[in-house]
Amino acid sequence: MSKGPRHILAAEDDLEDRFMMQEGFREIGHPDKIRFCEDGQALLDQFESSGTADIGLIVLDLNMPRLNGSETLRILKSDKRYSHIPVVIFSTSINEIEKEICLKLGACAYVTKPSTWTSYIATCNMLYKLCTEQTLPVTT
Amino acid sequence: MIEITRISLENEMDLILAHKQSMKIAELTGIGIAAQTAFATAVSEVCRNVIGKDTEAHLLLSVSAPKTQPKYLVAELQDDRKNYSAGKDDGFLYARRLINDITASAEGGINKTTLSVKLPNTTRIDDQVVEKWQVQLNSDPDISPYEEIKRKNRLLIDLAEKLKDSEYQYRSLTESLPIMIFTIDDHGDIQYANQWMLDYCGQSIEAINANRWRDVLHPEEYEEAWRQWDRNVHDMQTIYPRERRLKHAATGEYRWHTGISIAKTDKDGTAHWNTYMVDIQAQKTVEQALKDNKELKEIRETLEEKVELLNQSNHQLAQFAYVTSHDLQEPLRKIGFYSDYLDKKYKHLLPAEATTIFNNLITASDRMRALVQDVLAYSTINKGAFKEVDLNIVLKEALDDLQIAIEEKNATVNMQQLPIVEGNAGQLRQLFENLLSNAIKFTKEGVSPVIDISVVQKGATATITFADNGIGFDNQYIPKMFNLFQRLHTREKFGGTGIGLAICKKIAEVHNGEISAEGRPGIGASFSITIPIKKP
Repeated sequence: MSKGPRHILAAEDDLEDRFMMQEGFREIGHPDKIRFCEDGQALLDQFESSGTADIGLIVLDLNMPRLNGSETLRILKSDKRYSHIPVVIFSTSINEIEKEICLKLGACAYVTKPSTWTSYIATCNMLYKLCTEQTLPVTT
Repeated sequence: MIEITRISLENEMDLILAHKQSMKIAELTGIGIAAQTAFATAVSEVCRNVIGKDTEAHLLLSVSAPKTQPKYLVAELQDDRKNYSAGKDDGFLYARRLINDITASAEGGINKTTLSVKLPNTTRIDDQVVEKWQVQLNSDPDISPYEEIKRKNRLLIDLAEKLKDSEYQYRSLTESLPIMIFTIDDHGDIQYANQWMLDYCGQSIEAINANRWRDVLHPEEYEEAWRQWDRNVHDMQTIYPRERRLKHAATGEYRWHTGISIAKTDKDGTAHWNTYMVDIQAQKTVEQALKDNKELKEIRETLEEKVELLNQSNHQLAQFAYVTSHDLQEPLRKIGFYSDYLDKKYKHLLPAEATTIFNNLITASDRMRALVQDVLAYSTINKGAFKEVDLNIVLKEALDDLQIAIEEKNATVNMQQLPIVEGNAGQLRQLFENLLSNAIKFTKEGVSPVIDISVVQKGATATITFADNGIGFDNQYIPKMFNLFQRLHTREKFGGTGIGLAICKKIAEVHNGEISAEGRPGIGASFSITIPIKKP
């Protein structure tokens, strides 16, 4: 395991959501803490080629092309190489059934995408803490 | 005793006949010539005094029953003379000198004078012999036209008696049957009708004929019935009337009848129709019930099809509402984000007059987000797998969610122990939250809200009432209040999407319950949910 600062890798196909999250991390003073890939497949490909040494937290959008959030989660949690990395599901709507499935599959949190700038900042803070301090799973 | 013949005694000619028949029967039964004369003369003597006395009298000539000993020929005079005394009757006294065996008796106003002559032992008496004697007595050349008339008359009277009997039996049969039996002539007039028909119609034959059945036939069938009669009457055909409604005089009810008219032509060429009609009301009622039943079944099937279509349409609409509200959330969230982002980061760069417009933009997007969320919530309420839910816990969670608003408004919530139900905890929490937030929202200026939550259990259901001391409402709005997008106040006065109570109603309904409301303007409102309970 690398001793350098660990990063958050977010699989997010929506450019605007990436902008929002990027702005949130910029606002809390850690613009480089978060990195993006375009979907679940890209995330797995990256792990295969570059490994997971510097990854402290995975954030998965649910609706993505090729490999969606819950499928990606299932693969990650059934692979010994990746199953130790905490995963946060980041979704548009609160869907109780979806939430339950994801938590069962091993997600540590199910977070609804914030609908204001102010709450985005709070969410980014929470994700940052989760990555660096490996705090207890939280759901919002 | 076996009767051989019987002679009524009215006039002198009858007396001669009595004498002649007595002689003849005495001869036939084997009595000697002298005894024959004595017997016949004695009979004449006792009969003589009833002639011309305006009395009912007749003579019976009989013989002993077969196989009895000794055998007798017996003549018996029966009459109803008043104050008759045999001992003072010269005829009787004279006869007694001719015949030893003669007696007189009276019983029930009838005088009986009996003359008996012993028959020789050789005389045979049996049915055959008696019949032969009867034939001989009657077939002997008549002594006079009178005797012939007399005999024929007697036969006619016998025949009439038999006819009378037969007619009586027939009449009592037709009278007692619960069927209308009547005869109509070719003018359509009733000639005879049985008692049943007269009782049913409550009028006489003459009355029915006089107004041409108008009070009997149903007005709707009256003209048609006579048309049918006119069509058939000339052909001398048996008429099968259609089913007719006839008025029952006692109840005023028209009852269905059917029957038949059989055409008959008398010897003199006059035609009449023997008709019977029978009550088929019960059969008609059953027919109608079956028909109604069939129609009901068809209606039900049509309804079921419509319900099926409605269900499909409803389902499609629910899907549409869900999809649109779900998909609308995404761009809305971004509008929310960007307006907040602009507000926080670049508001100071906006000219003052743009600030209000900018604030309106934020308010509008907030409202739209609330609306979309409520529509989504509404469209996702459906009957899923229910679990045991403790409403006390649900209420506590709802109060926790509303903690900030409760504190802000300084609201007091009084509650009772709630029951346990079968249901969806999330939906029930939403229901409680909506009712509580309404109570906190619609308050009177300067009055802290007080919410009383009470429970009344009745059998297997509980009614949970949320009563407040807010602004209340006029009860005329109750029917509309639970409709989607229904608002009672302007948005400026009280915000909201107008979906909250529609959600409450739907949640109550999927829990096999119902919701009701009652308001008193300026005093308060109360909302009651009645749902089946699992445990008290």
